[in-house]
Parts: sequence; C-alpha cells; structure tokens
Amino acid sequence: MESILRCTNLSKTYGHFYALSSINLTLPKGKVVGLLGPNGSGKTTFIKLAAGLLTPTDGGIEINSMPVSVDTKSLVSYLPERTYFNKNAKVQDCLDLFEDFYDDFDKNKAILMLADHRISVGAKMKTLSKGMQEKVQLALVMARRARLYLLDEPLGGVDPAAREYILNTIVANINPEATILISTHLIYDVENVLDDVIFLKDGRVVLYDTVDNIKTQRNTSIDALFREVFVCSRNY
Amino acid sequence: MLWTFQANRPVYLQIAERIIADISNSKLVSGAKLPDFRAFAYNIGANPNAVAKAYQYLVENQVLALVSGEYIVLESTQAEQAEEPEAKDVADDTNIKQKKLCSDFIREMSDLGLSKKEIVTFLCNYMVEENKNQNQ
Repeated sequence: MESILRCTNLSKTYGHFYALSSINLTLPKGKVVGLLGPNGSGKTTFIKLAAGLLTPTDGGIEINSMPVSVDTKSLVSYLPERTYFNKNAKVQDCLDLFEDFYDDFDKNKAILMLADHRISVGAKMKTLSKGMQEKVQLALVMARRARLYLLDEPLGGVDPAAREYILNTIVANINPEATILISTHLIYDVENVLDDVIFLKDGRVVLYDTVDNIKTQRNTSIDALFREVFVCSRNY
Repeated sequence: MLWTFQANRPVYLQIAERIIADISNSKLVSGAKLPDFRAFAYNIGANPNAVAKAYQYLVENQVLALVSGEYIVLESTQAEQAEEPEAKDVADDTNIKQKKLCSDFIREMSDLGLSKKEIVTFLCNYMVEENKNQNQ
C-alpha cells in the first residue's frame, strides 16, 4: 500500500529530554489514524514535526516521499491545539485568509460547515466561545483538499452533541488519496471511525495496528485497551 | 439516521450484520442495489473504509454480488441454501429466527436510549394494551 507519511529513526529532544525517540512509522494513504497516548507522550511533537513546525533532532520525516519542507506544507492541513486567529478578526476574515493562503481551499464547503454549526460569518472571533472558535478552525482545516490532515485534539473543547457531527465531517472527507491523523484523549468518541491506532508512550510507539485486528484479537474496545496499557497507579 | 456501534467489535462486522438483518426482514429484497459505499457511510455516520470492508465481507459470504461496480443483494443467502436441501428441523430454524428478531428488537430499542429493564417493561405494557384493544 502506498504511504503518505514515513519517518525513520525520528527523534526530537528538548534539552536532554527525549520527546520522541527513534520513531519508525509509515502511514498508508486513505486511512483515518488515531494518535493516542497520555499527556506528555509526544503526540503534539510528532504532529508538529509532520507539519514542519519543528525540525527533527535526528532521523527524518517524509510526506508523499518528500522531506518535510515548504513544499509539503501545501499537502498538509494542520489543526493546531489552539486557534491562532486574530481575536478581532471576523469569521469572514479567516475565510478570506485561508482562501488567499491555500490553493486547495474550498470556501463554499467551509461556509456550509459553518452554517451547520450556526456560526455567522459576520461574527467576530472574540465574541465566539472557545468551542465555537475551535469549530471555525476545524471547518477551515477540513475544507482544504489536502493529502494529509493533522488534527491535534480536534474535539477538546467541543460538546458531545457536536462531536458526532464533527467526526462525521472528518470521515466524510477521507478519500483514497487522503489520510487523517487525529490525536485525542476522547478515545471512546473516535474509536468507531478509526482504521488504525498508534499508541505513544514516553516518546516511543508501543502499538500500531488496525482497530479491527485489535478488536478481533482482544475482544475489547480501544478505550479499554488504552486504560489497560496506560494504567495510572496511586503512589500517595 | 446515524448508527451506533458497540465499541468491542469491528465496525465492519456490525454493518454487515445489519445489512443481513435488513435482508432477512425484507427491508432489502433480492436484486436490490446497495448505495455507493461512500454515500452509505455518510448516511450512517461511519468510516467509508468500514462500509467498503462490510460490502466486501458480504460478497465473500455470498450475501451480495458485485455486478458491474454495484453491490446487489443475492437471491438467497448461503444460510437459506444450506437449510433447504436438508430440510432441517423446522423448529430449530424457527428458534433461530425468533432469537434473531429478539436481538434486533433489543438493539433497536437500545439505540433509542432504553435500558434492558425499560425494554422489558415497555414490551409488557404494550402487550397488555394490545390485549385490551383486541378484547374490545
């Protein structure tokens, strides 16, 4: 199967701390992949490396067989943990920014998604709640026709009723050429739309398998497996 | 309508089972065309890959056939073919059907948000009322 992302011996250190150590990973095209792990396991670092916002300390990362660079950024649609829009901008201004910035941006699709969330394009970002701002950001990111979507905690501030809608928009976008990587703690909400899961622990990949394999072999949910692998014990 | 899935079993299997259930209760008749997997996935809120895998699984099990790019419900399922020539114990078949109907009923009621206890209560009340109506 053709791959969209490949990393070899990928490491990233912050000072002496290894955020990621020697990751070898290949993501196929046309899949929805969950990047799961507890806080501080390296999920955001991994996504930022793939988005080209960080440079590896060691090893390499390729998107569509090209090293991560300015060129690969046009293939990658990245949803950061926090929204980066000017708080004084209107939703319309953000739409214009994306249209100006990305050739693959489908403005009409974004407007339709915003309408589904009842977000007016005339609203100022600062008048929207945190969850609404995240929905604006997600609509913009998903309205691009990218090859790789990197979604860092797309459901964090969103209410449970809207999560279902958002997941549907996310999976509706997948096509044989596009892969979606979702990092999240809300495993129960996402596991039924995932094809594959990656478990990260202390900067290393401890599991990478298809969801169907895991469920068939272990007869358990991904949520339950996650709790088993990353069990927290009380030491006080 | 969005479908809900159990978290401890592969989604494609659950989709395949629902399609089989729709065939056995004649919501889907033989010769019917199934929608394009992408459209179907969109309607039920599932990953298109899971629907594609479910269709593939049903083709392998001779429930569906892939005819010029479209998935068609086959005339008789493998299960029925196996039962007919042997003329197996009729009571046994009925029992299977009853179990199937019950499990479908419970699943659909659960999807509506009822607990198992509530389903039992609802069914009892319903039967009592229906009895009354018939006696009138």
